[in-house]
Amino acid sequence: MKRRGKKKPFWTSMSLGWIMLVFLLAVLINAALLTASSYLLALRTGLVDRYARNPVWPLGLIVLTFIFAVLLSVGFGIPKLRPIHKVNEAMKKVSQGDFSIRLDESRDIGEIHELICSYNHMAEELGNIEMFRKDFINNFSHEFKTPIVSIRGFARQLERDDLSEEQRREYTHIIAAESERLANMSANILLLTKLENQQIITDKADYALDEQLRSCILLLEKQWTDKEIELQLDLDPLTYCGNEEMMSHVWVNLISNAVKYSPVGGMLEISCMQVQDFIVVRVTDHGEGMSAETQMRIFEKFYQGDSAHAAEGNGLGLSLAKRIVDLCGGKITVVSAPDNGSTFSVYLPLENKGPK
Amino acid sequence: MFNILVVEDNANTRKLMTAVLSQNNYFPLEACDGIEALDVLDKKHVDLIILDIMMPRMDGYEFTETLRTSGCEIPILMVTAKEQPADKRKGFIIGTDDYMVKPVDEEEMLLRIAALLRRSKIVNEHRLTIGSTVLDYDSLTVNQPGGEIELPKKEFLLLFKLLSYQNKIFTRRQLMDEIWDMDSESDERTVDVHINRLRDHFRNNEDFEIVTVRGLGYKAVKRK
Repeated sequence: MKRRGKKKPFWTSMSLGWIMLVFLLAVLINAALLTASSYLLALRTGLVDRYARNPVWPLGLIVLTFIFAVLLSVGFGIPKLRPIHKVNEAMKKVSQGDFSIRLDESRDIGEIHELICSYNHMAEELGNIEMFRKDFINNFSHEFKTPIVSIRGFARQLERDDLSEEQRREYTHIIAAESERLANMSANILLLTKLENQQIITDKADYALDEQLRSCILLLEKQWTDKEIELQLDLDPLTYCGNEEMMSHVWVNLISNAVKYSPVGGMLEISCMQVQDFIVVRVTDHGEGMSAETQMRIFEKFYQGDSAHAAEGNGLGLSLAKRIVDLCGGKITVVSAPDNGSTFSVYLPLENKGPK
Repeated sequence: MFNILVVEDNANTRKLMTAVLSQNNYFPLEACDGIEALDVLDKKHVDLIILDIMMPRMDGYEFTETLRTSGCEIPILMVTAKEQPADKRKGFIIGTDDYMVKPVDEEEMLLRIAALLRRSKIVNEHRLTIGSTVLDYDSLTVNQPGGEIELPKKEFLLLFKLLSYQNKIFTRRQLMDEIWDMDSESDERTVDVHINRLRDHFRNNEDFEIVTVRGLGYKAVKRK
């Protein structure tokens, strides 16, 4: 991508190859001029007659020329090659997994400078990705191991003869609940990993967004009727061009969260409308709300703000939703306060230009 | 007593399913792949098939295709680990009646089995009974204690649909897509008009009523 900004002096972006060629040409021309003018001068001053007879002079001049030529090219060439060697060494370290080396950007110009800047940028990005990956793996294995510990442990307990009826019931219930959690988590992780490797949304088509929201609401009918939730729907008929299956994950996630955190008999407001070039979908619940700290971290993988409900979910739903919305070139925000409910808003660009 | 054939290659999964089915008053039959399943179908009467997809020798898709092309309309519930939308679509196109992704919730599976059996009965007999009211598909008539009413086709189909899936909410769009032509001139308000006419006809019917779910659509429920 070309950087537009202050106009940089043209020699900083000239190709190294061209510089070499120009230099060579300059040297040749200068050499020719020098030879010609020296000869003419010598001719004029009679030096030719005096010194040409003696072979030492012309030979000496030739030898001197060679020595100067060698000194000049070595003096110019080696410093230019050194940063390339440095970058080479640093790249070797990167291929072995060491992203920590940074090179000094201040000294060189032109293509060498760009090479060094590019290397530094690349090492920084790789370092960040590595950090996320390590974090994710740690979180992930912990989240998986925890239910497995319960399932295995309590299953072994159930093999004993000396348990009370109540203990037996309780342990069996725990095994069922933790297995359920694992099942949900593996489905989410699979989807999340698939999305992480995607840069664009595929399989886009026009469809009715309001109807999709109604379908998603109906999908969760059991959850909201069990809790006697009152639905207030304000859905404008809107057409959206996107991947219907992906988007349904977003809506189901937001709505099931809203139901989960609503009190029994509470109200849930779901709306969709067009605002300028965007479609705005809002899901509002009047439940527990979130602290400012929770709000900041809520889209992180595996993060669960509320420890009371932690057993029901796995902290991946909102990361998934955010990833999908990002891939659509949209935005997802939350406004919330403790005991005052939460409103999640999803902004989808109608033009659907793709991720920024 | 319904015979349900479980076609699944994993022994534990099969064991689990047959246990759940027996406990719910169904009679389970077992097969470990498509070929064995065809054998069972030859020898016994089967009301419904629970079908895994990934099996050796003959997989679920092949089995369904074989069944459907030979004219067998036994309801099929695919239960499989394959969860991609493309897999689902393939299943439905080949001829399955329903599709669940493993691991399945047993309760949900039982509900779907019940719905499939019910619809199959309706399809087979072309009539739907609710309490003392009977809907006859072939004559588009509704027989209730007060007398018999013949309904215009679209009205009948609307009522039939809602009562076939009792308690299920349908959006106006879903009803339109099913009962009216895709490119007809009517819009969703037409559905409202027809629903009101149905309500007029059956205001005094003691077996069912049509309920509006605000913002979502309509459903038919049994009257208490």
